[in-house]
Amino acid sequence: MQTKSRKLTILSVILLLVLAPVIMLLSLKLFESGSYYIAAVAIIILSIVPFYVFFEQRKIKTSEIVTLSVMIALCVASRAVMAYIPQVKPTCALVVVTAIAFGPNVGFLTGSLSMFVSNFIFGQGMFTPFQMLGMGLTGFICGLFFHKKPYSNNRFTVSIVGGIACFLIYGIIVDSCSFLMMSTDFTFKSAMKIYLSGMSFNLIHGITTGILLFFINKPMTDKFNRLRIKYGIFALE
Amino acid sequence: MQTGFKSVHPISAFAFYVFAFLLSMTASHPFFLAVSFIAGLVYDIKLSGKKAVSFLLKVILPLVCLITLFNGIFSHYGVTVLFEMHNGNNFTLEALVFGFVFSVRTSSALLWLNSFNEIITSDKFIFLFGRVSPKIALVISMVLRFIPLVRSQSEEIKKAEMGAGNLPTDKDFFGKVRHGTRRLSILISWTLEKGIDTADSMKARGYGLHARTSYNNYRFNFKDALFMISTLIASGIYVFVGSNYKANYNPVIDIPMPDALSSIFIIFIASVLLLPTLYDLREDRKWSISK
Repeated sequence: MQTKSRKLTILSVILLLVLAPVIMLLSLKLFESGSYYIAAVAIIILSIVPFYVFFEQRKIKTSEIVTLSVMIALCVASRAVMAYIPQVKPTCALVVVTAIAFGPNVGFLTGSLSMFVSNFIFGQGMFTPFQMLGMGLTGFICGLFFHKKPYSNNRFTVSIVGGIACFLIYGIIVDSCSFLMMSTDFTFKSAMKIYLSGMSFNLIHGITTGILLFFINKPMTDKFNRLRIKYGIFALE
Repeated sequence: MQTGFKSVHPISAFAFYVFAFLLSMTASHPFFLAVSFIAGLVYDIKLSGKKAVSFLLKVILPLVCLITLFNGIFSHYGVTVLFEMHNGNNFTLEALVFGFVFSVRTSSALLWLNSFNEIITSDKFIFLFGRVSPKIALVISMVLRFIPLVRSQSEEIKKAEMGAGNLPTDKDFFGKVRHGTRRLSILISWTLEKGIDTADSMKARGYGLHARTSYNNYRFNFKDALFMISTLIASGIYVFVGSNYKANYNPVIDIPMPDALSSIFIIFIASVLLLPTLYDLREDRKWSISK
């Protein structure tokens, strides 16, 4: 079972590495007059697939599925809870905390699915695939960095790394969507214009995420540890 | 009971939307652009009426103007110089026109997205991807159930805090933050425990013993097959014929005029894109006759 899932994951990664350049070449050939949005979305879908294949193939406990769903639901609904503090979106912080507690793969799933499901409520948009990849990668990288590491208890490191990941990864990936949608000449200069104009917004998002992480990392980790000890959730990873 | 295009089988409807998006985002010939934009707009208006008109005026129109203007100002390719800007750069017709084409592309995709959100609801999506990925589909459907639960519990917590006299005043910013974090913390503990309850209940009912079955109300009938086939034919035509009718805007505007045969193809694609509207109109007619 374990080897089969590993094989499938490796297969889908190879598929991504082969297909992504093919898509890029095709899009250069087909759409000379410049819509690379479709190609970008195709590559994003390909890069998300390995994580989902991994999850689908793994033998997983019922309680783990439920905990994942609960965390995603909390990520989506927490926006409403914190709504009366302006500019604070706790989604990213919660994704990072989940990734730290349960590992990079669960972090990716939580991030990407919470973006996807929350867009069922707010309406799917052209940003959806970019948001899914951005939030998923933020969770994945924070999970790689902190999961089961001794310094994951250090609230300064967690808040700084989490804030930077949110600012850089999520911000740049989502701004790439606006770049593909708004700009017609694909040069470095016009890309910088779009990224710079989105910068202040991303900076606020990153800073609030960092501050939130500073406060919620410890209590959340305690809650997760309690669950882990009491019910044995996500012991596999 | 859903009627009109909403009652079309999810697979056919999804295939239709994939085609509509691909056409909107890749078209460069004005005919295809116009067909996709108008069909998207007509169906959006049919579905949501006034909301669609205000979307057109408040979002699409400014978007088109902005992108066109920005492209004219910041891009300088093209041979037809309209005038020279104060910084010495050329303001060209080609850049302006391509900006317009690009913005129409984006806006017709946005129009199709509006109706996509109405037609492909979350239950249809779960049906579509439940076979490919049953675990993810289960997670999504559980999340969709947990969200209202979490929200109502959050209100309960707020009421309890109010009863205990812990609600902050409007001016007390740090009090608000403290209250918000406490509420979030209580909510998370409660929801995680609730999740464990759900998991136990699922286990007790035999989840994971054998493959999960799921109820769905969708039957793939003749009408859906017809719809699917016409969508597939239209996309085939678009890929093979449409590639001959690629307009070019850089450095010279070059729009090939279609001959008689390809005009028929364009009309066919247009009628396929208008099918959802026709379905809904036919349904309206049936309803008015039966009344």
